[in-house]
Amino acid sequence: MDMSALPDPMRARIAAVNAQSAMETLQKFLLTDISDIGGLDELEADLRSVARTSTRSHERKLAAIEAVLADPPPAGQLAQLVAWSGNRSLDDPSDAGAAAFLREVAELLRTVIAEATPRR
Amino acid sequence: MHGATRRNPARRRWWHDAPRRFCRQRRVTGHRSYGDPSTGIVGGQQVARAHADVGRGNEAGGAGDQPQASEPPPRYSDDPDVDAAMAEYHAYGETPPRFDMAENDRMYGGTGADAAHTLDRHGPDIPLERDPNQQTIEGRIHGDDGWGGESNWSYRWSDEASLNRTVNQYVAQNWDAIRTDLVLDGAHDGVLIADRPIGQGYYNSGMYGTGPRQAAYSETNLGVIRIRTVPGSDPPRPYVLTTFPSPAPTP
Repeated sequence: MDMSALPDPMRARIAAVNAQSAMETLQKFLLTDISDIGGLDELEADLRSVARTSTRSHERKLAAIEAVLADPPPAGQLAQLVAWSGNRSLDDPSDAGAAAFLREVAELLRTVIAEATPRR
Repeated sequence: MHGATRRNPARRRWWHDAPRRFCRQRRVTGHRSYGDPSTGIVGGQQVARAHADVGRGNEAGGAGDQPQASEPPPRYSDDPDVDAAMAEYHAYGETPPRFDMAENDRMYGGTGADAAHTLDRHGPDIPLERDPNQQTIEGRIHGDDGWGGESNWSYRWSDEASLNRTVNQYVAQNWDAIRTDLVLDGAHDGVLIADRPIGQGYYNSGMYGTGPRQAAYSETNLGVIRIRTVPGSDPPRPYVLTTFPSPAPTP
């Protein structure tokens, strides 16, 4: 789709979303999508439901996880991000445990994206 | 109403049920919960009826200002994808919908990933203090039965008036962004920032292995809102999947 042909309010929204850093995108993803779930099965169901329309947001979230894992923040911040923004109580509450959790979420996103047949 | 629902163990664990059938279920069972159209709220009609309410304005939650579903789609550009996206964007209506969250959850609740669940998990009627005999906001910190494991924070809406006011202010102020996201991404997830406390609950002051789990009471003026489109609705009809108070971005 040629996004430049969209009206101003839509293009403004796209620009605002795209301007977010990987860390901002990941923090918001953890807060909005993960902080209230009972388990990853619930996240998967939600991601699959949205993917019936589009996987654009999934791709942004996956790219954000990959970028943050490739260039991790200072010690302790990844653990805090998952524990607080994501509201996760992991068996391993360290940075390593948080990274493992994010890798699991990233794999889930890849699977949903690969299996989706979005209409948009 | 919701207290009774929460005490049903099968109901409390509804989010572990996979089938996404609530839209069909509503139509098949004929479940009706009509609101008062004069109040200008969402959810005054069931899904099947909502589909027939094309062009009635935004009383029913975002169905206003759009052409009849049976009319040929208008042309906005030469790119069919852009054309479809813009047609859908306009079909949501120029006027932001207004939500009554109790009605929203009655209309679009149920089981599965698409089911609305604000009041089930974060309603003001959920007891705050831990009680082994029922689901509580504090109990979520400790992973009590029905919550799906331990959490580091857990909040409820202070009251339904704050809930409705906060949701409708957010939707009114962000409607272009919301309908853009619904069209292009199939979902809108946002962060609420209120000018007064909207929720109360607990956070775990013993995070990071620094001590035993300890639920510390706090109030918050922040929250999360997740908006979706009723599956199969034509014209597209937004509803609130969930909204819940959340703590400050960092502990």
